[in-house]
Amino acid sequence: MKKILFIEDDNAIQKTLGEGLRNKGYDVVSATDGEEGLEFSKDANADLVILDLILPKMHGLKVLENMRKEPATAETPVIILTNLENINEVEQALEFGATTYLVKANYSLEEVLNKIEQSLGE
Amino acid sequence: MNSFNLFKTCKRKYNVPLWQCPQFMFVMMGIVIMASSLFFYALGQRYLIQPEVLALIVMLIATVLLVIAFVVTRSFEGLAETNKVKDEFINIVSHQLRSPLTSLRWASQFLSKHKENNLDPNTCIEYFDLIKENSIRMEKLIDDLLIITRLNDQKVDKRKANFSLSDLVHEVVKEYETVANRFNIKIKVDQEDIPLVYSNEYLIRIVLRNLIDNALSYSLENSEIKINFKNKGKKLGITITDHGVGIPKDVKKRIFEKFFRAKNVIHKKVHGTGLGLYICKLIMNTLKEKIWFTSKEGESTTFGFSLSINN
Repeated sequence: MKKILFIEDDNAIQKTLGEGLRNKGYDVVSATDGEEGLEFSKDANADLVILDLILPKMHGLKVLENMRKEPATAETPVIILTNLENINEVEQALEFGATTYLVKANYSLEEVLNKIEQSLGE
Repeated sequence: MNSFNLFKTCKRKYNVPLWQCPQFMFVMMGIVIMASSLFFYALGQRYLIQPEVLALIVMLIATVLLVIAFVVTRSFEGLAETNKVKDEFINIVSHQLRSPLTSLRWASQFLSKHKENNLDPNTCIEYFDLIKENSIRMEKLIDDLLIITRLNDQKVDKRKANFSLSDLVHEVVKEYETVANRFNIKIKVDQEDIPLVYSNEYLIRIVLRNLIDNALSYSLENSEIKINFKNKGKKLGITITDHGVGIPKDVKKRIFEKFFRAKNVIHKKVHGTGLGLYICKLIMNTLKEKIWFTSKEGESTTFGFSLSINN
């Protein structure tokens, strides 16, 4: 079973997308703030990280930057899932090695689930 | 005719003081150039035999013009900065509006496939609650943005009348009882006999809502929020004290900024827009009253303001 670390502070998004992924047979580990997400990423051994940007305690880009410094998570695929659409954030996320940058409002739940499946090569 | 009114144009179009307004500076430069031309003509007639005096005066006038040009440049920089702030504001607002909208859309999409997702009736209710919670969150943000626009444009009704602050406090506390009970937080209101106040009830209700909402967000579970009144003769003071995480020293200066939320918020279920305290400050400025706070990190925070007693 593939493992996904889902770092998202919005309760509704956590619940809907998290449950959608579980229904598709993934093992989903949830974190609700940046610090917790970074901490979990060290031990979770996740196949994929879904990362929001506006997070309490630590900004998503900082989480990503720190993840890349850790040997255990330096190569883990990361999907940025946010509602921020600034070119600065997109460029910085890609520079830190994000695999995909998705703007939540531009996709339906089904489309996001499909994109996550594609990222996991399924 | 309004376009010839520099005061109105500068306020409405650029939202900068008159001395920073490009049109005003342009008129000023024109006046200075015309005046200096006439001045030179008169000087030339008088000091033609002393060209060094004339040169000195020309240099002085040139310096004045340089200073004006510098101020004009600064005023354009100010306008650029205002535009940048506006752009940032629009960015944050779009993000804040998009988040509950996405939650609404995704939760309803998930619910519409309830059979496929094996949702039992109780889980369905949880998703309906999420939809309700996010609709309220969006409504609150829109209300906040509307009141900010009306306050900034000075289009809000700020007429004052006598009313009971004690009754108003009790009404607002009642609105927050459910949330307070959820976290086992007691809101205790001082029962002192207090005089009527002379202010704007509608605006003070908004301030109280935001301060109580804020106190709840940063209170520890099983704690107490105290609301006290203090009769200071001509003024009636009110304080709202929560026992929780307090405000970290390094963010104290930013507490009344737009979209600022301290990172140590406890109850994330009480959705904040990050505009509450900014609105409180705007309202108190509009009413020409003061709002203040004291806080000890890790212990408590007290917000307070005073209103004129019934005249």
